[in-house]
Amino acid sequence: MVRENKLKESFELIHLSEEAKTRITANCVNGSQAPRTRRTSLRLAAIAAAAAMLSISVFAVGSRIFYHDKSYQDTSQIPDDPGVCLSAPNASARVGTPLEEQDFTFKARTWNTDKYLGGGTGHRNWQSMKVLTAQGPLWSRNVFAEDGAVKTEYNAKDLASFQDVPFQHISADFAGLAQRYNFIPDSSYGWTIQDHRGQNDGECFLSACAGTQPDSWFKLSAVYDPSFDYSNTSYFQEGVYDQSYFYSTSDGYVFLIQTFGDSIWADCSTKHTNFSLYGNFVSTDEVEDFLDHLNLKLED
Amino acid sequence: MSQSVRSPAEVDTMVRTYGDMLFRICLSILKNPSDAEDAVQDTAIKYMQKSPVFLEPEHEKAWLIKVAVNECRITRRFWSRHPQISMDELRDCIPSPEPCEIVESLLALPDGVRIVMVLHYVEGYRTEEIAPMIGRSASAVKMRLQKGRKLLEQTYREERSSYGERKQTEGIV
Repeated sequence: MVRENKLKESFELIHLSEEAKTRITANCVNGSQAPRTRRTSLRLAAIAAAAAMLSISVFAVGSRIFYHDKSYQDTSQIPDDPGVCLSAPNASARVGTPLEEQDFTFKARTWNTDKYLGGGTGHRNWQSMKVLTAQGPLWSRNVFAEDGAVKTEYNAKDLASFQDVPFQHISADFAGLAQRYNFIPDSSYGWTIQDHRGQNDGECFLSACAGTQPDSWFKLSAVYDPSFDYSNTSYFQEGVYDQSYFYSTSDGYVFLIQTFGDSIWADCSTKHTNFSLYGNFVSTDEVEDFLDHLNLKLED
Repeated sequence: MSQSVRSPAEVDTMVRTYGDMLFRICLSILKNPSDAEDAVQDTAIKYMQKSPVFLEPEHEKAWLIKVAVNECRITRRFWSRHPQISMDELRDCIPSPEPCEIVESLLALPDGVRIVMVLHYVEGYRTEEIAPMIGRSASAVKMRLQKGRKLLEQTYREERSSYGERKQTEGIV
């Protein structure tokens, strides 16, 4: 409480100068076209100059570094590199698909078969599987690769069960999210991979959720892949999305949020991890609120 | 319900009554005194043009805060980049070193946490009052306050310890 009082005392020392108060009133009375202060003029000039440059795509927050797609105004601003990717929203994304037309339930129906063994890091040849459990709230099975790696897959009826999955590099407040949001049953799927030496070689979880508005939904995924470098940015043209802005969550994670018609994306990457959200008929406020409740962990 | 555009005298009264509070709130969001001043001006323009009728002073104050928070959001989205902290300008606002350090510690907190810390501990609003001002749920506000207290405590502890070191180094008892 002493500390909070000091915060109040310190902040109350901050005042708008008398000159600023007079200027603000005069500008209001004379119309918002009135000349602004020299400092504001410099700021406007800086914004104009910045608009001609590529926007920042790398944020360092504390010890974390985040990577995002980068915007450009003119293709001459894009590096001449065969590895460069250009991204843009698919035209069909402008018109969303309602929730009732989606099927997010996962492949637990084929849990006891060799169908759908694929997916994971390192471009492996997954050959066989062994079911560990196909009952209860959290199903699991091991999938074996030619190179000796083992992928343990999980499928949960309820996202809260993912609290029991031994993720090391990616996680969220699964129980809290399950309580707060309307996750679709059986849509929560994830895996962890150990290579032939027993070292962690990748993790993933994904799930889908109904939004608060009718027909609305969003799906999320998080990946840790030590063999993939998310710092190689892709580029998108300014103005190709309806909105494109950075949002910092209360955890200090920085997301790039983009909207296009009925679609919305939110992305955050570190060097070897990525969290992505994609939704239809979901507002930016709802997505921001969700991101704030993630209690996300992305660690390289 | 609104009246016709407010008079210059009414705008002047509002700026003198609430200008400092709005500036502090905008500064906590934008972390730049020049931008905070611009956001206060944009809020005053809305106040003059929209000219809502308030039944009580507290309603007027809450309306102004909500508009100011929205104006700050528009500024940040237009910029679409990480806000710049102009520490020299901040030190012009607060000449004393210790309070300046405390404000800098708060400005180093994550974006969503700073504004609720200011509205709660500086302006004295409860979580359920803050929620509609910033467009978040009361539980989200509570969570951000918990995070803010924890982070500020960590930062404050580090600063106190380094201040102690400086005292020893300088030989001050």
